Amino acid sequence: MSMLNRNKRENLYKGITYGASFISLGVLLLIVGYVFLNGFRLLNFDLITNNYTAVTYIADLDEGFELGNYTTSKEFNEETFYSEKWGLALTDDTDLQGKNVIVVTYVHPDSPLHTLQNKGVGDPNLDLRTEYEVIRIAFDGAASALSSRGAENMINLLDQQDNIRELEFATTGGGIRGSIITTLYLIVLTLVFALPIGIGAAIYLNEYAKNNKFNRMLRSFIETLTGVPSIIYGLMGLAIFVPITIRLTSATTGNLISGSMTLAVILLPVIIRTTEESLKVVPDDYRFASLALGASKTQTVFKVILPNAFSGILTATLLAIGRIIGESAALVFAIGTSIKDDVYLTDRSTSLAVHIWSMMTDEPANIELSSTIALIILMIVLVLNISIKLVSKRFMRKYGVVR
Amino acid sequence: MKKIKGLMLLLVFGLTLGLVACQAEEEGFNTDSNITVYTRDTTSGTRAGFMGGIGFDEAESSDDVLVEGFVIKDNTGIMTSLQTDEFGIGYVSLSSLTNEIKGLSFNGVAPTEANVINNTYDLKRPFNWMVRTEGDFPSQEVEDLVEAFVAFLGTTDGADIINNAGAVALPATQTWDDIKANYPITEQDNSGVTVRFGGSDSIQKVAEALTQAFSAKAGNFVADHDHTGSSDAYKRVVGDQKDESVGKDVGFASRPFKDSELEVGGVALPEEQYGQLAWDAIVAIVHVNNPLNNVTADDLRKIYDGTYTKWSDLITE
Repeated sequence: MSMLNRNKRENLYKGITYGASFISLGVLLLIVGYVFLNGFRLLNFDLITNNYTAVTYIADLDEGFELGNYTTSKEFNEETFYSEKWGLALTDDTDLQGKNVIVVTYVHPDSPLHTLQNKGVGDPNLDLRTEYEVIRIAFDGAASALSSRGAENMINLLDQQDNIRELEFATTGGGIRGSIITTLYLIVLTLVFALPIGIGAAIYLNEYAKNNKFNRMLRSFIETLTGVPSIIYGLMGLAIFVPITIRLTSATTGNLISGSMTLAVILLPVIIRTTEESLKVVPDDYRFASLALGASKTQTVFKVILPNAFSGILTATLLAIGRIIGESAALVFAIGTSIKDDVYLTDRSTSLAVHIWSMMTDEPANIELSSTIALIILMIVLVLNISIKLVSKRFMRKYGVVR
Repeated sequence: MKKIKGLMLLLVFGLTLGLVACQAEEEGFNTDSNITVYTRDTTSGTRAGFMGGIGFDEAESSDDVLVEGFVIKDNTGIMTSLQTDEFGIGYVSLSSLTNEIKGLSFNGVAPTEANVINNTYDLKRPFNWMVRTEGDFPSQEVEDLVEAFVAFLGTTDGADIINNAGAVALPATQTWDDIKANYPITEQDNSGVTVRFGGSDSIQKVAEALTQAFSAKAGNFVADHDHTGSSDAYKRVVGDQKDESVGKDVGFASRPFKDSELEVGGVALPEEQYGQLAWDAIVAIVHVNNPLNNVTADDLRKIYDGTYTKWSDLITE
């Protein structure tokens, strides 16, 4: 009777643990699945390599142009419309951000639109090439053709006119290259600030600090700090680090350095805690053996304890990197939210997470692109994870540490 | 191990099925249901425009006067909620309207761009701009560029860009070509000059389209956009944050400027320092299953102040 009961109970407990792990796995899969399904469509190489800011050109027709009958043997699909009068084919498409745009698909070699005059500043000759997005075509004494009304409408309006006043077209913008570079900069810079201080503090706390009231208080302080919302750190960064960096560098606003400093402060508790844990599991026998062989305390710490705790420190680093990539609230204050293509340490720019935030605050929010960026973040984390594992394996082999 | 894999697959299937099943049930619209009232928070320019537009001014800045149990969401939150909440009502700007929700006519006039331009659709709000005080710009180039930009807003070229970006431009007759000779700064290479834009989130897309187009016309200056809300238009352009690192050269507000925002230290701002660039219509939205097609200002007011709590109060068959 009691045996059966015990069996049943054990099965029940086992069932609960199975269930718990399946639920967590299911939830994680759902999140990844959601991000993938929503973001996959916009994921392409152009998004990663393109600039965010599109370059717009404003152009005029060359003198003495000829309108003609520019027939072409090219075949176009249903979304493409061709004007024989102007020798131009336009297609309805979506850009990198999923917005509707009109893309130039074909320009007839003899078309008056092939060589254009620049109405703006810069190279006086422009060339309407395929892949450019047409924003608007303005005419004298008639309503302009706008890209929001579609390619068919634009071609129809164009066919009704014999001259154009101005043509506005642009390169494809909306890429996230700048945000990816910013994120990588942030990771390196933040680790440079946070790791030495965090690991140093952990070594002090675990190896040197006496178990007294002050040190216990220090520990509980550090623990409390992990619970402070990151937006508070962001405000602190804005109040302290931004003015400091403006004072010491050529920066005039929130910048990458002040952002990294803020992130470093956020990461300190995590790094200190994880490193300390990894120092704790190094057996005391190692310390005693090293000291017994005549090594000094410092030699013991840096030559014996630290290499043995290496994998734990790597875990701390990995956690830190994950936090840097994921952090957004603090960065909104400490760096700002303007998306940049040219990234400088002393200038504002946007990490991938803040880029998501900025896409989500659009009205209406760009959920698709946000999911795509989330997907890219997941991939970056995965790559970093694997490479850190590889590095740690090599390092451990070199030091002969076996775990 | 095989067992676990099988279980995992089953679990994923189960979850997906469950999700699909949750969305699948659809029947006729039950008018006896309570109305779920969605609103933006009190800092939103859209909320100020909506509440002002339906004659419920007290609700612009206070939640206490609203019906009990209202739900506060941001623009996206309202849009996604009303795709699933059959008995909800909310409001968004016209440019956000999609086919997945139902935009209601207001006082019998359909929410279309044409009706905003011909001034028959009444539920709308102004998009406004504000610039720094003369001589208070980072450089003379920036000041000249901002002056040219403001002039550009009043041209047909500017109006095209505004309409293309989803807002409704004010009528204009001059083209940029007609007036550009008055702004010689736009004929030089300005690629080293940065102009800072900020203010309302709702205007960000329109503002970005405008600066992108104008930069090509004005020596390729760099437009730095950092939009954080209508209130910051005043604060960061002429107010107490103007000399901080967040200061802006041009600010946008998606609501009329308050009287307190049209003066600095008791001195009224000169009129050429602020103005309107466009209209944005606000649309009351419901779930696509809702049979309602038209509301009046009075209906909306009664929904938002709690006089009407059930759809049957409004829909009489």
